[in-house]
Amino acid sequence: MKIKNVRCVRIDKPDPPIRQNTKPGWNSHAIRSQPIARYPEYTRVDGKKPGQISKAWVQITAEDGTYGLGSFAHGAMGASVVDYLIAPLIEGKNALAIELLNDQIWRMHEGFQGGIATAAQSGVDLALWDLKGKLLQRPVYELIGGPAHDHVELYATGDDIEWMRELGFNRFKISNPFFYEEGSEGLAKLEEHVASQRLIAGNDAELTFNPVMSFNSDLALRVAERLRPYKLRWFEEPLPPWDLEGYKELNRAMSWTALATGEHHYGRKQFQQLIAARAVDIVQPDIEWAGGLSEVLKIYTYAEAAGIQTITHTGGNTAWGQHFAYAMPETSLAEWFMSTDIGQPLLDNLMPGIPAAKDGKVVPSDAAGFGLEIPAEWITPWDYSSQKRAVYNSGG
Amino acid sequence: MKIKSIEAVRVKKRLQKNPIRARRPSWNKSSKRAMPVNIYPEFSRLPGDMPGGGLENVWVKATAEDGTWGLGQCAFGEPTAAFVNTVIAPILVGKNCFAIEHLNDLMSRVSQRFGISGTASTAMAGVDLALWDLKGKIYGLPVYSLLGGPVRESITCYATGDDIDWAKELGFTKFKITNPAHYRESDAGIREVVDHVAKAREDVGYNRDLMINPVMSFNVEFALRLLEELRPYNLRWFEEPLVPTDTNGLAQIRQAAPWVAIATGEDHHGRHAFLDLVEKRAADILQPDICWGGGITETMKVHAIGEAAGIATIPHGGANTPFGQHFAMAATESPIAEYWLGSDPGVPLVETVQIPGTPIPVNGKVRPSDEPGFGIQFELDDITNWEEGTNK
Repeated sequence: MKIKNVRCVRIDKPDPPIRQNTKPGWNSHAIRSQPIARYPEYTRVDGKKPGQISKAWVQITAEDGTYGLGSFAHGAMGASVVDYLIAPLIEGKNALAIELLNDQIWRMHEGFQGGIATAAQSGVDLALWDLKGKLLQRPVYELIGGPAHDHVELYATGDDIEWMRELGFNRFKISNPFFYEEGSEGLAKLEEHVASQRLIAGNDAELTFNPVMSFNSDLALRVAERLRPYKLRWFEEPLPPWDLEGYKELNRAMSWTALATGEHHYGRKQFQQLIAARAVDIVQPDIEWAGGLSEVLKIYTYAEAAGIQTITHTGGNTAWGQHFAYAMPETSLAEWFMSTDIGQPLLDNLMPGIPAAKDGKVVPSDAAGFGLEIPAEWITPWDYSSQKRAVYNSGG
Repeated sequence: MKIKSIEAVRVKKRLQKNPIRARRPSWNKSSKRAMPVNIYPEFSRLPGDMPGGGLENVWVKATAEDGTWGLGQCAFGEPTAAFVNTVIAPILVGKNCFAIEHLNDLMSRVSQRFGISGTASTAMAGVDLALWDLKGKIYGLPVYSLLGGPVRESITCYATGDDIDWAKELGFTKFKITNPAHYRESDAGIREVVDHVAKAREDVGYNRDLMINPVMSFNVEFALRLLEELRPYNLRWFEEPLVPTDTNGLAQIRQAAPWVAIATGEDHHGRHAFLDLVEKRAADILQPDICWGGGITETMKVHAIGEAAGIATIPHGGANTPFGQHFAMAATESPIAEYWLGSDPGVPLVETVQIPGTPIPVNGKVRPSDEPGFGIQFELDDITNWEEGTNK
């Protein structure tokens, strides 16, 4: 079966109904540090910081009209990679030969891989897997050799612990407000934040902490020591992805908490270096950023052989992450990112066909492909003329 | 779809009607080779006659609830068959036959206590291959397509053996020869190997790939002194000089002799052994045996580990089996495949096929069957259970 057409598309999901009795969730106001937090003119509230761009989708149609869908990060920037570089490379080729197509895309990208090009490739790879599943009338988790579990166990990311507990979660990941240049005062505020969250979560709940590249190796060690009494399950991405030596050092030093990273590592070769150096305990590739399902399976393979778990970044909210976590033995958890408001049904922010978390668990759809049920009329070609200059909110 | 049964079986040998007579007996009946046991002069240097050699292949049949069945091949006779029937079968029956990743994990975990390499990984290989064959048959797709291939039009093969004239006549352009010496023979052994290589190099020409395979019969100092003498012969690679446990020694050879690539792996079983080789940068080429080292699932993992580190995977004897052909059709970083040419010169290759449905190389290239599964063409009548098939 040949590929007839590859295109970048938008999916316009109608807004969910306005819900009564809801309160804004953490995601709309939590102060979270990131590398750009050095500059106080920019907000620390997610979604308004510079450099944040929403996802785009890829639609791949086979000769017989069957199509698959996949999404990827940094959408507006990657759209042209899909439409102008990858589409002409793989149109007309065997739709089932996903290894071949990925290898050709990687080799074409060799001069500019990582980042945007690799994210765009992720969307293409996911659309190919969705298409393969639909053509064979099988769920993707089965194509990749699963299931290995009865259900996918989830942890919830957000600061509204009481609400998350009400939803049935008992594992939580909290944010970080502290940027490393804030020194001892920042460290004290951070400890206060973690201590209060630990109090709410209770001592038996797994609690993890995610500074998203906001530290350097000096402050990461100080934070690790300071947070030692709070028995964190893991300490996530304290350093930028290029600081391999920093990760190695921290992982050797911090025996009381596991070290996790990976959402900003792109492609198997970056993970190979991380794993070969035993620089972390848990790798966290993002399936929509790191090269797609094919790439994350390769990362998983290397990691598993080295005794390291793969727990993808925000996998629980996506069809791809659910299928991956359901299929792979050495993946004990998936992340559920709380983007809904307090009191709002989780399904409101999901694409149709993706099951919502219930009691801290989820089982992916067993329909063909990834089981998405996106109406065809929501899908429109990517509109390059509507791309706008960014406007950055200040303050915060 | 659930697994109804997993069992070790035997398959019938198919005999050729009116076979074409050989011009001469194959090198395989006369070329003396060294293996680790040949440190003791009392033992034969013909592989089939050595202690531990000549054990028969074991086949595994996996049957699904709906009666569809798949076949996989592994090796080393009775102990492997017993492992399949007594350890693996009981934990796999009733499980989802498509969940191969899960089943691989189950088999690995249950085998840890026995030692996951050797008999356990060989038994796992037969089972894993039978499961892939079954999955392909139920899906109606060749295994290489399930694995994400084809990644190439056809597979370029190199020929292994000492009948170079016959290999050339068949159209092969890449060659691997045997090694006659054991390190215990010291300088006399070095001279013997150099003469053997020099003769082969003359036969194949200077710009052809030529490899040599000592199959674990050297130690580090012997290998390095020999490689110094072999330097002018421009070998493409030097294969498995050491026993598989000596990965530090192999890394030492690789660093000391940069003029030749180091290949190894047929006696390394499973992904962890290869991860060790890769992380020590001990080899340039990984050579797992699909039928000994855990099957297609495990070999794809080895390939993923090697590829991420920039190292190729070229399975042992891959082009002789449908398993290796499907692997090579789907693995990007696997540029060539080995065709073990042990049949008598003059006998067409098609008459030597052991597994019906396996295509043979033509002009040094082969393409696997497009039939569902591995395209193996044994019929139910050709299969007997392990005990009944015993003729001893």
